[in-house]
Amino acid sequence: MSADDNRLIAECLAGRSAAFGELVSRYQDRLYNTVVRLLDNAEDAKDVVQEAFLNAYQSLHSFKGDSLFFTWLYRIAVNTAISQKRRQKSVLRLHGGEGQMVEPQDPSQTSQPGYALEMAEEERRVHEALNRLSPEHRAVLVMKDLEGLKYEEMADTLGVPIGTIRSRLHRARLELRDIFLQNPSEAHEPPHPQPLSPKSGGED
Amino acid sequence: MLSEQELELLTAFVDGDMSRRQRKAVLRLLHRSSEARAVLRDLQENVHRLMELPKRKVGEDLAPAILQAIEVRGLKPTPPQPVLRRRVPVWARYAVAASILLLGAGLASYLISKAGNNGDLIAKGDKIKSQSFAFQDLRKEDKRNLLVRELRKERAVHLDLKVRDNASAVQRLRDAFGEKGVDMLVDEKAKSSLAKLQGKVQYFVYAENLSPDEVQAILHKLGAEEADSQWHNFQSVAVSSLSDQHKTSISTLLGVPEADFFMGRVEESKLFDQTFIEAPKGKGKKAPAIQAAPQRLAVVLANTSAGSAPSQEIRQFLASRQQQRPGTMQVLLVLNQTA
Repeated sequence: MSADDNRLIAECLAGRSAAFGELVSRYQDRLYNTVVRLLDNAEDAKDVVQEAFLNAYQSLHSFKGDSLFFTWLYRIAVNTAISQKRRQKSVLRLHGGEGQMVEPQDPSQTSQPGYALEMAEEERRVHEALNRLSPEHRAVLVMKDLEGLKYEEMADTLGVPIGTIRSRLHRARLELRDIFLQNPSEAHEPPHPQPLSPKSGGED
Repeated sequence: MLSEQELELLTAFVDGDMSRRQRKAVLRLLHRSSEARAVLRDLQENVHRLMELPKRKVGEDLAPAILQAIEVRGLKPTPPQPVLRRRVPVWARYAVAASILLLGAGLASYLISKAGNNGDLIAKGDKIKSQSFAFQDLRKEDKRNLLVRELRKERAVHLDLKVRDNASAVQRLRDAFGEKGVDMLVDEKAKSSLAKLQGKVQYFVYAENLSPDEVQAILHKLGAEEADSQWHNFQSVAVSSLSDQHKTSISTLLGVPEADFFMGRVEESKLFDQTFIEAPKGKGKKAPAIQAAPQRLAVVLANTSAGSAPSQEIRQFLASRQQQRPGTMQVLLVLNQTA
């Protein structure tokens, strides 16, 4: 995969921009799935992903291949999304308004309408809760729990020390817990995890 | 009630980020504390909530749109060619340096001969040397002193701010002005433009009756915040005199004829150039005390084409204008988003 990416990058640098289209098609969904959880709006997420690809294209000459192309791209997209979120928050402060939520998944996508509605409601609740966190806290939760990134990868992506990641994650988890405790779910309980078993493979 | 340390152990346990000894400590804690067990259960449930979020897809292939944007914007994956500069001959450099020294010496003797130590009053007549300061440098006293010295030279100054994000810059300026007792109004158009995150739009923040020390304090506060922040929004500020072009732009955006706004009749529009009270220049004359103004307002404008009717914010700003107090100036901050 990496060798193939490198070949496409070399073609781009040689002037064949169509090769970049292949890179876009390859990573657009994976990138979008993260960005849409960092923002509250599907259209904004799409715009951020597009801008991230365009920024990556313009900086392609600076990609040295020290990391995977996706890791590099991911870093650009996540930081663009966090900046966007900060801007949205400051604009909302200026306007004194509330944030708009991400649209829940289309219930027609599953064959069980009741279950789908329940899932859509749960998704909305999770996004509402995430939206109450700072962009930095939200980002670490998304990267850790959705993407399963390691601390080193998160630190590299956000350009902060590992200790900062650890501390943000700790704060974010406690804040999220408080938010859910203040707004308990009536409709849906998430599947109960196996108790008392720490995740494996995440040690630093 | 669990201690902070115990909570840290629990969140680390959820992430599997712990040593064998810490893990034993958590297990002991869970064994003896029902509260710890409840917290852990909540934390693990929340991890599952996030993990269970459905995978989202962008819904369409972005590649054609991105390739089109690359073509339309003329983007290149290679760095721009560096501009070759013609080398200046060595003798010319010495000549320029000597001229600057002579000019500086002349200026210094002129300033000394004026003996115009008027505190924070504005020494009318000296022109601001256009200077640029990095925000983080404003923590240094010598830089701040230099800034104030420049500001004191003019009655109307232009501060050109390089920022990474206009919207949060406006918010932080609003807080900083607020601390100096200046309320900031955001014009309707500027609000709408900020909400759309239009980075290419230039924003004007215009205020009157600000002393050089107040302006310095506002910039210093922003600089100090930058030093504490990981994400640096305010990058640099360039100080210069307010140009005629800027005066025209302000008048146009406020929907007021320039002649009336800057040089017109005192009675009708309370103009600043005409109503400005000169700082005393002679020795022995005591400077008039700066009196507290009733309410000072600043207005944020988007530097786009002016609309037909002034917004409520502009009307409020115009209605609030006061006669210019001695030792104060008109200040135009221009926000330029760099990212």
